[in-house]
Amino acid sequence: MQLKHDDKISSRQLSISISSVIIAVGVVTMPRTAVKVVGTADVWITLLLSGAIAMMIVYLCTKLMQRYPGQTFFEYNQRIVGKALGMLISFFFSCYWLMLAAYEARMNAEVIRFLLLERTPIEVTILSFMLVALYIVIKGQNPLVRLAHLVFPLTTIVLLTILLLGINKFHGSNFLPVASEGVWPIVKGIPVTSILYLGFEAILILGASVQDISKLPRAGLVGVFIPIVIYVITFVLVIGILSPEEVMTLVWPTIEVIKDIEFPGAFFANFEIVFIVVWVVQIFTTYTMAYYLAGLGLSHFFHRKKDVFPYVLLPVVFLLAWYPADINEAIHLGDIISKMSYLTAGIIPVTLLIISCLREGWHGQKQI
Amino acid sequence: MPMTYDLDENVEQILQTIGHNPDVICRDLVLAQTNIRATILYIKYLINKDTLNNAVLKPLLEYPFPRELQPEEIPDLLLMRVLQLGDIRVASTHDECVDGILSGNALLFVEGNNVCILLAINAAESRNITEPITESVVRGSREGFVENLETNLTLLRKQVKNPALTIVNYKIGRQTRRNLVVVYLRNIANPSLIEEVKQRIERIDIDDALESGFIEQLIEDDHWSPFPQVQNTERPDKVISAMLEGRVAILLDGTPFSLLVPVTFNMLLQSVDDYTERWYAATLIRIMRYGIIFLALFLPALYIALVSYHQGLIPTKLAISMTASREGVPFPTLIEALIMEVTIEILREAGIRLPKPIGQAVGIVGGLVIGQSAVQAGIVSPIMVIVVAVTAISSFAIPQYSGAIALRLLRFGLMFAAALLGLYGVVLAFLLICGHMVSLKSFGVNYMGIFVMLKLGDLKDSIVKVPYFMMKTRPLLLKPLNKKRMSRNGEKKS
Repeated sequence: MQLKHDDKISSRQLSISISSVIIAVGVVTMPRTAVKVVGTADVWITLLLSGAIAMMIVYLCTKLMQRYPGQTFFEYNQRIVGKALGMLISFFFSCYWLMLAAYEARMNAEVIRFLLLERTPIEVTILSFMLVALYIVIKGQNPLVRLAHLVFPLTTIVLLTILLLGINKFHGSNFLPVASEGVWPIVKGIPVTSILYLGFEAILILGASVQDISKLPRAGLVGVFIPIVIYVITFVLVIGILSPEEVMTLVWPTIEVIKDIEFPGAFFANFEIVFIVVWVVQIFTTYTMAYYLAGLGLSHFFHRKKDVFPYVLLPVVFLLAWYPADINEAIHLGDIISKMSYLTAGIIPVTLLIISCLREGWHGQKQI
Repeated sequence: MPMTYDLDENVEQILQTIGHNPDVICRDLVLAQTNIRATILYIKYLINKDTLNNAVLKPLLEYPFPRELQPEEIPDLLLMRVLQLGDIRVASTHDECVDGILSGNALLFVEGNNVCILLAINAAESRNITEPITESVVRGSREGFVENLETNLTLLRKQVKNPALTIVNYKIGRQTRRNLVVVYLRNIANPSLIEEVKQRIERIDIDDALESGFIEQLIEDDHWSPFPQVQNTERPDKVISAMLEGRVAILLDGTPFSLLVPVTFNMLLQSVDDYTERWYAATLIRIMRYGIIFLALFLPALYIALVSYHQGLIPTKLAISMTASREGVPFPTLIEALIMEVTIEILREAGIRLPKPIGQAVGIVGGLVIGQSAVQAGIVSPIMVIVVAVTAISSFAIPQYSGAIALRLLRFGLMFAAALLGLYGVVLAFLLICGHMVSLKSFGVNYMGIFVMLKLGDLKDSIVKVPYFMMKTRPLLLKPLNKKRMSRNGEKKS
């Protein structure tokens, strides 16, 4: 039926999906980690720098995608590096997405335990989250993209509005002087903050379904740019309201900021209730996409239909999410993922692009 | 089965098929001034006797037929000169005749012919056109559809003087052969949509479709979804405006409710009044309706979650008064909420079928007396009564009844989710509903289409409603053939 041609996704949908995959756990955990490494309030410069790097890499990723129109990364990597290595790369990507999904599920459960359900076992929180996600993942890629599109504008607007409500406690002096300890701490923070932007590799798969492939680079850049803006605003507000020293001592600085909001004249003071809703929704979009991509990658690896993998992966992801004994181990899982992301989001796509260029020429788009 | 040249055999065949029932009348006559026999066969409750007498019998018995008339010339002569009727057909098969007599035609057989003349003299017994009860408006047409399909089509034809108005006829029901028509504007509606609608209707094979609700459930996309994927209306103006958006209407004989496909979620929240009143008011009311949906779905669940899990998140003063009012209530919040919700549902169910005055009495007795006494007896808290009442009123305020039913169902699920996992459960249930809705389609169109495809033009008539001069295009989501609704300045082209 002709009406079904919306099975392709528009470039705007792609941008929003990428943004919504990127924005996840980092909003609440990252201010502490980043400030610890950088040591001053200059984190926002670090964010801009690592954001710029992410935009560069996403641009290269889209260039790679454009060489193989209509194909996902899982499909064309074997053409570039051969069957065995390609399969290995697909498997590695799947593991990466799998761990990311588990990490998101666990961090979500941790925040829920911290804010809402102190006594509920973490297994219940994780599993209920995963089952709801499973329902949507089995419906395939388009509903996922549409879901992200449906909730993303709401979540970002709500998140920024809540943070802006705390602006009366904002101290601009926290940021002065800029680069008080030189440039080196700022640069040193780049690897740590880069975890904030991980997730944009999703474009290597989602980009294959985009309607107009010539708009792909722009869609990718916009998709990374939106999170940069949101992160910088969040970080500036959190650090400006709390001060860098305080941020370092708190586990969830962003949540503390929201908890302390006292809006004069407002009857309602518990903005964390609104935040938690938005938070779960935002994590959910990242989790579902990661989970879906893991299943898709494994289906390419095992040459099976992709329909069964969401079910098969359920216990695996659950065990991964449940395994860390406490929050610190969970954060450690995040560190491992960010190390993996240097490969998945940086080295592998760029290397493949170079090899592809060498083998098939800069303009070579030999179709099979 | 073809017919023979023998008059008596033809008549006997028809009678055998439809049975020798007391209402089947077989009138034998001889054409005036000749010896040629003819028979008129009809079902007496289906036809108009005056028309039969004046337009058929009288001419047949009085017309000066030429004496040396060949039998094969007779049908032409009757058609051209004798019968004083507009709608006449010549049928040559047995089945056509049976269909004809059952749908209110009189059959005229003439000796020596193997054809039958179908005389459309059906009596259109029809209720008067009245104001639609389920969809009253403050300002707008007072005409509503009736049970008679012909009357309904008249209403549409009268208002849409457009040669592109297309009516396609179907017979539905293996046992009852009910008339069903698909109506659309062929210069606007997308051909693939029309094709899909036709295919789905042709696939229907059922004893009888008593009401368009049967058709709706047979042609919908997802049978497991709680949401209506077909819109129903008894307002001709709604059907017309839907056709102008490129949608397709399905009308069934025997019911005033017509179906409109495809439907998207936002359409369920539109009312005729939004378009007849100024756009400020319309926009505010639209936004309020989205708020109403939120209340109707989430209010009891949020109350349960906050009271039983997160008292700390309630503003202190409110928390104190809520705790005070819950003092002495023996049940957990979920049970308390269920008691009241189920009571409301019972009241609603009891009120529907009773005559109006008694129904109101039941409402008053139920609503006021039970609510008041329940609070005084200490079974439920006053705040719970308020929550349940606001929820019930909200669900009445949704323009489309079938949409409100979906929300009523989901509300109970959300209440259980809230009781299990508190606010987290509510959020997860919300995500589940969202996930379901974004994957739902109505005739190939995304149910949440305007919110997820983001064709900005379509948002002009969604949560907001912009003034008419800004709404120059039809909803693009439905992929109409003709996109422009207005010329550039909204003025007539010279």
